Amino acid sequence: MRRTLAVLIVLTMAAAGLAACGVRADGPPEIQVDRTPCSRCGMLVSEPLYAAAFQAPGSAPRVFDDIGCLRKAARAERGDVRIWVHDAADSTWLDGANAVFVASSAIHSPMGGGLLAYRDLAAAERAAAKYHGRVIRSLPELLQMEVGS
Amino acid sequence: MTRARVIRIATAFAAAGFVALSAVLPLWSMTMRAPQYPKGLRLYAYGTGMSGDLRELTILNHYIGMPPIAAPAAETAMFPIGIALLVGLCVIAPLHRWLRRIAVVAIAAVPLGILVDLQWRLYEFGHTLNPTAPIRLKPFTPLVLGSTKMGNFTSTAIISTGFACFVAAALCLWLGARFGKRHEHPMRVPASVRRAAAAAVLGAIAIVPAARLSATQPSLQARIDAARPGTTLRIERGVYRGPVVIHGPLTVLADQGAVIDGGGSGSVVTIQGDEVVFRGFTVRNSGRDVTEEAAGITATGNRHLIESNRVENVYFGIHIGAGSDSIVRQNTIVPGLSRGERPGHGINAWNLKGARFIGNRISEARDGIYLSFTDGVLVADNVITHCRYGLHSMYSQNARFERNESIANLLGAALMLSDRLELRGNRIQQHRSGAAAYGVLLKDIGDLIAEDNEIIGNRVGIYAESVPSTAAKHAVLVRNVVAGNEVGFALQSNVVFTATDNRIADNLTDVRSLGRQLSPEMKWSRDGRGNSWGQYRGFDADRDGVGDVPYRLDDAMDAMVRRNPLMQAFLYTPAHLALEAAARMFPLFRQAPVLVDDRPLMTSPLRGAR
Repeated sequence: MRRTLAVLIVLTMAAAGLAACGVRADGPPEIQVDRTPCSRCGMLVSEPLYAAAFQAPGSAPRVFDDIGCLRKAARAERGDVRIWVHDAADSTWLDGANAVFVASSAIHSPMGGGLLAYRDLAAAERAAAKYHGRVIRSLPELLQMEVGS
Repeated sequence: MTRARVIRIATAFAAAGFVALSAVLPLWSMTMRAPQYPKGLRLYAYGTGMSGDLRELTILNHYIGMPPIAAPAAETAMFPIGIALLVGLCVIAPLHRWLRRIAVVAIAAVPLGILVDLQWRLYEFGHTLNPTAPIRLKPFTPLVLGSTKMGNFTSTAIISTGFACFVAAALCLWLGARFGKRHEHPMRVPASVRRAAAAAVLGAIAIVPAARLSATQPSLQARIDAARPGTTLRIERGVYRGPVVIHGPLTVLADQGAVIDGGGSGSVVTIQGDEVVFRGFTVRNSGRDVTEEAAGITATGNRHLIESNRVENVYFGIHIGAGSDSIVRQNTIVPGLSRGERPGHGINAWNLKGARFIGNRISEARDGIYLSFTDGVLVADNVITHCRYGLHSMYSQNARFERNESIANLLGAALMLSDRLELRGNRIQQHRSGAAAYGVLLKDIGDLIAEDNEIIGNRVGIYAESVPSTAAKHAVLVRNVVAGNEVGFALQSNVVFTATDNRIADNLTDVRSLGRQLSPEMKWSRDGRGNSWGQYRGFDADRDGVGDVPYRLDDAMDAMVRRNPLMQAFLYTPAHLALEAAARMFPLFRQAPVLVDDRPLMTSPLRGAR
């Protein structure tokens, strides 16, 4: 009897675990470093610092290894997408709506996108000075601008 | 104090001296003679590494498929600790006869252990011959003492002076005890003399290392700065604090055991200007910040030679760019995980022309060798294991990858957004874990020549998407072995290349189309020759070596999986096999074939055909 109960508990927990994997409420998707591939270029995401994600309404979140990949994919989307990037200052997730970006060819991101994101404008300005790049002050500006790479 | 004790202490210190001496003398040597080398080639084993005619031996060994000679890392790391322990044992041996006995046994055991270990290593060397080597020998075991014949070489191995030091140390301790016994009567030593002697010994113990540190550490950068351009600087063994900046032209050579430690921030060694030779160092502990791009060795400029270094515990191993025609050769690069921080690439090349990366051994890096924005780089004879991608090319042109071994990484060779690449004679094996466990990934590639590669035992041998064909640019795969993979080729429908003379066999699925079907422009034969298919069941009545009926690769199961992805659950089950048998026997089940090779080869065009 006790054994049956134990098996039941384990099964319930496993089911709960599976369910948890599938659904994640309103937040950036989980990235497993060196396991999760970029949904645009297929490269494995190995450096969370450059990783980004978006979710279009009614579809699963997509992960990118480079903010450049995200930019190209997001431009092709119709409608509002939620975007997440990593704060280059501490490598934590950051809502794209609150991010400022730095663009420079001296930023050697995985796909050559040359973009970093910051929560803090002052930090972004310091980075722009360091990489001889420029600050992009908002997500819409990032998505609209024309960049060579 | 008795005279016996004086004798014991003196002999104990002599023994300690001998043990210490053995640390810097060769322990064992091997001479290899052959008609073409009348003077012979020599190999010396030290406790901390190998020396001698390593270059010639490595080149020779290459022909018979032996791995390059490298001192085993574990043993060389343990040796200094062992020596320190033995010296300690010698010094405390006079305190008690049991300590002395332990010391004698330990001192005798170490050299014997080294001989046994060497013999084991030699056995391994003779039994891990690369079967694709130009000259094939039967596995053999060079003897650790005495003569062995290998081809037209005769090797003679003997113990050397370091070994004799161990014997002398053991003898000293033993004799000290024996003669000490005869002098058990007291000898008067004034207290003041004893105190002075004790103070002197303590002082020496304290001062010698301090003097060594102060004498060598601050001077490395100063010595480099003081060296006249174009001269050669020899750096003695010891640990030097980085960062170090070397401006060429300058040759900086390390003695065995010279280490530069970056202390965990920034690049450890920075090479600038032109024509720097940097050879033989251990370089470790760079910064780990991602955007800082710190490296063990950062090099810009032209015509450098970075050779025979060991780079460990760094972000990038060697970060080389903004220049041309440098050579990075025979380095061992292990960036490694450190304090939970992730490694960068083994060799990170950017904005580089005409460089050569040859014979490096790289593991525990992100990508073994990463090329971005390079032109005309040669990557040859490197061995890359346990990295993310073994070889990785992005935005690069005219790169040649030759005879590399890329084994058990997450992905063997990722060739992306690059043009005019050549992939020749590489071994790409055992990529089986993770989301993209491919031997070779081709994506957005223009011209590509892939010849004579062995792509074996991967989850997917060759995965390709977006390989277009134009009049000027076309990918060609010739004489490769694609075998033992779960899927040999996994191709999107926007992939076009020509494949001939390949051996495609023993994959669970030889070719899988990932789109609706393969591109109709795919060519599986050229000039009357197709490929050798393990699954081909045709005949050759006219004996021209080419099968008289075309080879059709049907995959009824694949067609069903494409219609209903849930069918994947039945892949490789008896149901799958039954379906395939049914499709073969009852053509009603036949789908459009995945591919047709009009000129299938009857035998494998390759050496070592199965």
